[in-house]
Amino acid sequence: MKSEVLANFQDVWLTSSALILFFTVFVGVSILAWKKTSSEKFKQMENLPFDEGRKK
Amino acid sequence: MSERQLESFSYNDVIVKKFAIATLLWGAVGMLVGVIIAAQLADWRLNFGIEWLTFGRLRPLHTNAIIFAFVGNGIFAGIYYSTQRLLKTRVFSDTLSNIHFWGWQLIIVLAAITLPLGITQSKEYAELEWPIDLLITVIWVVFAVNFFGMLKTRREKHIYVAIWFYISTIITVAMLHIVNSIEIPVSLMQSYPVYAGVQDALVQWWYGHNAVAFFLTTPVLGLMYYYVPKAINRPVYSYRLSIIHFWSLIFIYIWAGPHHLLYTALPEWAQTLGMVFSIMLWAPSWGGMINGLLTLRGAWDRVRAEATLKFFVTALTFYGMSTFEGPLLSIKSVSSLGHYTDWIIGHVHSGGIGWNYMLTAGMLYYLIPKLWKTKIYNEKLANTQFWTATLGLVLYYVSMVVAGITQGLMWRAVNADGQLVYPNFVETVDKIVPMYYIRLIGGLLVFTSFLIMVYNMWMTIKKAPKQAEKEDVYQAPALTADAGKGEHGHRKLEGMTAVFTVLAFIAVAVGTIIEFVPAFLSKDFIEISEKVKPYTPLEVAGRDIYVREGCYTCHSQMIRPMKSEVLRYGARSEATEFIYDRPFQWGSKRTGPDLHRVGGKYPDSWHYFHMLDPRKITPGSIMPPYPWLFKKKTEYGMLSRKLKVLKSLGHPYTEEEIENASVLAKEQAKQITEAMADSGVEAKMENKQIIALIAYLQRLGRDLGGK
Repeated sequence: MKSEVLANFQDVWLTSSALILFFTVFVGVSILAWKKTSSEKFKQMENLPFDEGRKK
Repeated sequence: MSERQLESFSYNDVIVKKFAIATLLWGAVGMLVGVIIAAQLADWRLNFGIEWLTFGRLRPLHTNAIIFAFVGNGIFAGIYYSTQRLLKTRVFSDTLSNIHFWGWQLIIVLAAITLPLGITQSKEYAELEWPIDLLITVIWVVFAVNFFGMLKTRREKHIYVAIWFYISTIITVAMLHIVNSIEIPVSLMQSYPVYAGVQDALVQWWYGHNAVAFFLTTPVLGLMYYYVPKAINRPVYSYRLSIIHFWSLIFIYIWAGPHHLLYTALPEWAQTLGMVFSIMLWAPSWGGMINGLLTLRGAWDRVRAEATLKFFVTALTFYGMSTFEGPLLSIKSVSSLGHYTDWIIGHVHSGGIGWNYMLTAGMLYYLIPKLWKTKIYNEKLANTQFWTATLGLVLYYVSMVVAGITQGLMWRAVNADGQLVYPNFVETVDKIVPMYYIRLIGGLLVFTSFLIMVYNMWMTIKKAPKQAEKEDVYQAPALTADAGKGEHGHRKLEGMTAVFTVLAFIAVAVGTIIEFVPAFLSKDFIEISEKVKPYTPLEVAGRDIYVREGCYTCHSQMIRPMKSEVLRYGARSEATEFIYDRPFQWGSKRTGPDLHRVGGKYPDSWHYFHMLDPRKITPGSIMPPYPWLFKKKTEYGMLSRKLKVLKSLGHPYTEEEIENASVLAKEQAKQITEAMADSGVEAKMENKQIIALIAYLQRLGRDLGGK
């Protein structure tokens, strides 16, 4: 198995599949980040630095 | 939903204060050492003939002091302050915080002692020897426990983007440090790496590049995401963009290490990977820069008035510039011109001064008045500091780019007859020495600007009202078990710190595994030639002296496959020639010429007198003399032990050679010394270190049929 993987290291299909996999993940995360329904939640998130707890 | 009970807690700001003061102290020391070595390149006499002050020994001290002492203490201060507040919790343990602080300072002090003494592994930014490596591991684990402990005890379910960058820093630096520091000790202060030659180079530059990525970039980006919004009092421009920025940056960055090894003996596919991923880095880097700069939208008028914001804006601008220039320099054709020249020195300083210094300064101007509950002592002084630093940086950067491109073009100039236009290396050095003086002025201005900040901060602290012993108490609702229920997507992930950390680790591990597995498992990675033999005992001793003196800081041992290089230095370097090189000595800068095929190029006496007085042999040379090599004795007693360790790593020494290492070395030293008798070298010199060094230099590049 190990030697097979290494022997096929320069196989264009193997590297192309990896490229497609990574690109899909990237597009997936982008869609997730830019979903319209997330707006309110992101607003809350980006304001976290301004909430240090209530000073007693 | 269960009732969220209000809890009282306080922040440990004492630890933040300690790290902030250490940042100021070590920043000044690191920059002072930088000024000293810049002066030595302008005028070789400025080491005053003292071995501990030579460029070869002080240059690693400068880089380590800036990276780990100055920026390191700065990021720890910034991380402890922001993480406590973002998670609404105190540091996990005050004791661990103190161990972290004092342990880190001890590491810095040990580095400041050992590096000038020549105790080094010669791996850039990883020069410290094995006992200190172990200490770094322990202290980093202490930091990690303290940090992840805060995540465990937090009162805020969601972890803000700054924390993601801190998480990726902690896990990746641990991985980098451990993998790159696997070495076998020879003595208390010497070791040999388990990797050799090409593999050592690949691991080292995976480490070296990612030390820049995950020590000088990701934690500082985390600080940027916290302190820029805090200073301007408005949220980051786009939280969405920060998600893309984070994941794509940490995933891509780890692959780019081989761009430090373009046109070397590293296999072509690994070089291409390094180049392609470096170019891809443009996108996330600029995404982050744009996110930071646009956070200031609508508040640019404040930049004119507030020094803190000036520092932040300049930091982000230089981050953008250096992350544009880095990928540019990673394109093979550009690298062929810029690599080994001062252009690279200019590039790293545009990042080091422009990004790291500026952002750290901005952060300290925000932090110190807050921590001491006062105002900055003198805002005008802060502005003076800013302009002095900016002017210094511009002088530094421009002079180095001009010097680098000038020298790079001179190295490669070939005339119509196919001959080098500037065959004498020193001719190309002579042309750029004026630039070294301009760089020195630039460096002095940057150092002066830093001293202005030290004074300003010192006075701010001194004039601060006396603080009550009691810490301020804050209140926040406790985190309940059902917090974050019903959430999905990235927001849900931000509440699951363990899963988040594992995913971040996978993101950095993918590139590492794909680049490393073939390098360590494939038999075809390096074609082994039987002509290549291990070093003789005396050559081993000489090699260790070469490493100790930091010769690699000015000389490469890697002839690239370009016509001008082959004409100047000889046949291109082959991977197989380095299989017994532990550590590899390819270097990254040519202040002097490449030495890979220097073996046999000159007689022994040439080296002898050259090391004694370089200008006598090469008029115009800027290399300092090494008189102590003519006084110190070679440590023959250690050679058996050294060979034994090397044999355990695969060097084919016989038991007889190991046992008689000292005798064999003395015999070779005697032969070399006797052969130089005609040149006036006395027989009593045979046990001196210069002879061992000559033995090593004369062996370089000869196994495959050199001169």
